Formats: sequence, C-alpha cells, structure tokens
Amino acid sequence: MYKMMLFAVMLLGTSAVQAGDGTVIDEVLAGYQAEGVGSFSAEHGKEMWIAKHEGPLGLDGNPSGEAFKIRRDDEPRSRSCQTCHGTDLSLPGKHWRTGKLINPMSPKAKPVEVDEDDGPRFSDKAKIEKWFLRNCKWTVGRECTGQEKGDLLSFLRNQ
Amino acid sequence: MLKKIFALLLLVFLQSSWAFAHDIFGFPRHRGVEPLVDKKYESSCGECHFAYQPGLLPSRSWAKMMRPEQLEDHFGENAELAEKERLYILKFLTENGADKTWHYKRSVKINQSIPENVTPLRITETPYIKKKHMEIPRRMIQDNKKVRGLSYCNKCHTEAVSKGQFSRTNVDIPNFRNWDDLID
Repeated sequence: MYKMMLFAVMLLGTSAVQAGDGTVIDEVLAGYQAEGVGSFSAEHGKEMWIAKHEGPLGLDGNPSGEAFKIRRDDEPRSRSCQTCHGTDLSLPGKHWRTGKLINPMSPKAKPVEVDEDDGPRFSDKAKIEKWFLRNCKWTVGRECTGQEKGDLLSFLRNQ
Repeated sequence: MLKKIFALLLLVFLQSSWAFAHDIFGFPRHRGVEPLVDKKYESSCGECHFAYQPGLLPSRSWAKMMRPEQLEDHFGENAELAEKERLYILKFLTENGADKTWHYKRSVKINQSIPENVTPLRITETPYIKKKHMEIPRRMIQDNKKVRGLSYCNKCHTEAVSKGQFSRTNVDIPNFRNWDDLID
C-alpha cells in the first residue's frame, strides 16, 4: 500500500512539472515511433531547419507544390524555417508578412510575447502538430513525415 | 414630494421604454461592433493576427473563409485547423456575423453596403470600410512602416480589440499623431 501511494505521488509529481521539461516532446516522438519511425537525427533536423525551398516562382518558373498557388510581389523568393523564425533560435522571429513577433524557438529562451494561456515552447502537443502542418506546407509545399518532424524536434529541443 | 417621486418614476419609465423601443424596432444602439471574445477563436486565429470580430463580415463570408481549401490558402498563408477546431470557429463566426445583428451600427453598415450576390473575404474590400478609409493618404497607412495596411485595424483603432470601437475619436495613427489636422 505504502509503495502504491509513493508511486501515485511520483506520478503526480511528474505531471506537475510536465510543461517545458521535454516530456511532451518525448511523447510526440514516441508517437512517431509508434507509427514506424526508427531513430531520430538532430543533425538532419538542423539541415532541414536551414534548407531553402523554392518559392511559388522557382528558378524554372514552376510552382513546386500545392501550397504555392498564389504569388504576391512581396513574397520571399525562397522559403525556409528561418524566413520567419530568424537565424538565432534564442531570439524572437518575425512573420514575414504580418510582422508579428514569434517567440524564440529555443526552449531555454525567455518568451517575448507572453500570453497567459500559452505554456513554454513544446509544452502543448496539439499546438506542435498545428504548426507543423501549417508551416511544412508553407515552407516545403507538403506535409512533413513523422521522421522529419521528429528530426526537427530533436534538433530544436537542445537549442 | 409626491410630485418629485412621480417625475422620477416617469423619467425611469421613459428611459426604459426608450431602450425597449430600440430593441423592438431594431435600431442600432451601439456604435461599434459586438466585442465578442472567444478563447478558442483567439488561440486559433489570434495567434497570427488581430482576432477580427465576427461582426465585421457577414456570415456567408465567414462560411466561405472557413472552408478547408480556403484555410489552406488563407491570403497566401496556410491557416489549416484540426477539423474539431475548424467546425467550432465556423459556428462561432457564422452565428455572430454582421448580418445577424441590428444593434451594432458598424456591423449593420458593413452588411448593408455589400451587394447580396457578393461574398467578400477581405474586410477591407467591403464598400463601407473602403469608403470610410478612402481619404486617408497612402503615406499614413500602406507606406507607413508602423501600420503597413488597412488590415491591421488595431494599429490605429486603439479600442478595436478591447471594445470593438472604431470611431474617429479613438483613432491614433502611428507616426501621424496629428492626422486629424491633415485630413479634411
């Protein structure tokens, strides 16, 4: 009985400190592995983070994906994660169109835009998936695979 | 003394019946749009931009905007939502569109300015909003780095977010504090 209680207390303890300590990332990664992904590579995640993709008007003049249907004059010629998140992960990014500040991607960095409903970086599973969906389609022109998302998270969590 | 009480009662009655009449005959009673707040709407849409009040566009516009294929290309950005969230926000917006109220002046004006066979997706392209901003020179909005465009309502309308107020008296154009002297 005593052991069970101790176990329950331990469980409670872990869920209380869940936000921001990486347990959510672990859960998400485990989810990708359950779908058949092997191991993750932070190195590949970094490559993806800086990789540039053709914008709607590629060098050959062809759109390279479904997301690139419309082109506006002020749209960046090539797209990468850094278009909006910037090159320094400890600093806030800025959305290329709206100019809205984006909190730093580094889990260690202090958020600039504080929303009371917002937890630290990578503390909300649904939010992680929402932004992977939107941003992969905008940047790469398609959804990212579990492997790719896992690699990106593995890279970002240690920044 | 009795006279005073009677007068007071009469005043109270007149005032309440005045408000009542407004409700009955559907006269707009408020100057702005309804300042509706919804947590899910805030987190799903307000993460990227000012969470435009539903009363700024008619319901048919919101219904079109919230279609999955529209969200995938939301003015050039991907704004896709999980289906559960999408349906929730679709309901919130369409139930409170500009055509659903008679009590908020701006909503009524916006709605009345749009021809029935048109479904605008941009608030800035509704005839009423266009007309209201026609006289403002480019240098104050489009070429003003602190504003950048008409779509950033809350950059100048200081009470847009908190109160749904868009009156002239609450306008403060960044870099053009004296805008009222410069425009007729």
